[in-house]
Amino acid sequence: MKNTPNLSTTIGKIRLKNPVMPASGVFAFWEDIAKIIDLSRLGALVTKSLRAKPSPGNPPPRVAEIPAGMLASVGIQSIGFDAFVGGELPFLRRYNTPIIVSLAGESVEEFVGMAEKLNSVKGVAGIELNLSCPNVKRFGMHFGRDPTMTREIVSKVRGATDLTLIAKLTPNVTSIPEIAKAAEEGGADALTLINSPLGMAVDVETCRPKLANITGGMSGPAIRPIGVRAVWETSKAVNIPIIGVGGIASTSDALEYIIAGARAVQVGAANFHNPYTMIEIIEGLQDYLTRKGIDDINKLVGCLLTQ
Amino acid sequence: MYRVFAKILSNDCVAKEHYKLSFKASRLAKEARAGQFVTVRCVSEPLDPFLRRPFSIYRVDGERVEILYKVVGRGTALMSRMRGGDVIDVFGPLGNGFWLRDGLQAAVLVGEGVGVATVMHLAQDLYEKHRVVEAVALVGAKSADLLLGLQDFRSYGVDVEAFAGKDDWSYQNGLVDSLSRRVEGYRREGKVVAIYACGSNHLLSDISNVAARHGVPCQVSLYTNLACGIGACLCCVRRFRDEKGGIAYKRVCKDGPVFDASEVVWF
Repeated sequence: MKNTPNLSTTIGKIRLKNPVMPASGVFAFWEDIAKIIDLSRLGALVTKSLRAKPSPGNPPPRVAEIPAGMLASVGIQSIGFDAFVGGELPFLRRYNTPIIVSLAGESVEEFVGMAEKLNSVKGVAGIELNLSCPNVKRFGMHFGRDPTMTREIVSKVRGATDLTLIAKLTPNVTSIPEIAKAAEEGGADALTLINSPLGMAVDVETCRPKLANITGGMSGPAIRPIGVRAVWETSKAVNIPIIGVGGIASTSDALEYIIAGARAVQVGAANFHNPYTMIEIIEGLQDYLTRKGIDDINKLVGCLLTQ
Repeated sequence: MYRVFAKILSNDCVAKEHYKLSFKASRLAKEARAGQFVTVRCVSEPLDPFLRRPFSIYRVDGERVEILYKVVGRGTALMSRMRGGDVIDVFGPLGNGFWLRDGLQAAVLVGEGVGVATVMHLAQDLYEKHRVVEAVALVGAKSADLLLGLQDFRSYGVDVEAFAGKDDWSYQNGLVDSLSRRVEGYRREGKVVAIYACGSNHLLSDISNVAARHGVPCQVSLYTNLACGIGACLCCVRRFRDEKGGIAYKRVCKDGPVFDASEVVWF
């Protein structure tokens, strides 16, 4: 093929130069990863979920290894909205990459309040609503488990912003498509699937949980089939684009999600395993398209053959 | 920091379940400072274990970097089966190392178990770059056969005292008493002294108390399970005292792993 295949795609109003971005929560601090990989090469930069006020997060230990993955409960430790706008955001703006700000409000009002404030902030392309954190009590996943609540938060934030609005949903429900439809009805431009499935691990020598929070969110390759299934099922139920996330550690993992119906992908825990993962996937997608003679990655989205 | 697919030069069992692994990484050998660490992954097992394992640098020699490890789980068991010529994925140097105050005259190094590695690199640094500093190492282990690095300390001109338990922690009191006596001795001689330690939480907490009692600066290298190693994920936090006397979480990987002992909330 003469021309380089097209990797660029669109999520809401955001033009991505390629469909690969970090998952929210992976980089609470960007200074060191920016020394290792060129953040300008990524499709988007997704921030750690911001809270309206600073929050210390959960007590340690916060991480334990599981087969082919990890279990974590950081509890959305956050520098708070104002410190983000004053410090981290200017740093991220240096890169020629759209910025998606993840928000974790403790109430509908906090979500709306932060979204409104972002209207007057330079350099933000989109908002990802974290309706699905497994590690904070009272809110987080609690919102995203209820279709009525999901619809209400999304529609109220929709009323407060023209930025691309993405709802990140939890797999810890009976029917992800049901919640996904509620988010779509509320006015979401896109969905991110999946947040971490809830898990638990026990130290049998001490009879204690391995995490101070007792339960935590699973990530890493161990959860990939759960995410791919969620994307596949949800893509048949909604008409808005889906960003696939959960256990992506290689090009072929990203392709599984894309073929199952994801227009873009996020990489989470694999960045800890190999900090070059996202760059390797971008290059790997290019190679795959070239090898297959496909000129545009968008042609792969949802191309799963089931017969 | 950078990733190196490094060639293993040797991987020797140095005591029961303890190994010393050396690999070739010239830039890392040149740039790593005492107290910094690397994370390691076995290339042969792409996804499981998933998380990289952190190790202090034991010693560097030209383009050769050495780490010391104990087999405690699947990751280190896999490492122990690697051979010279195999390739290992190494990422580093990470974290902040030890810092030396101006005018330092005496350094008391304390290494417990594989914690010896962390202070060995400092012993090498003192020997090669700060010869005026008189160094002593107090080495502790649960049994005599697990006392590691004694000869290597001596090769750096370090006076060594070893403390072994009977497959228990009984040696810790003796070690702490000796530390206290030595610090007192240096103070009596009017020497500027500091303590540098790596070991179990319990021992480090006792050492921290000795340092506070004598008004001697003390740096400790801490260990926790970690995920990213670059301060991004906030998984490795521990409790510290902040300036206002409150409690704050700090990242062991990025804000440490070496901390001033007076900041640490031990239990």
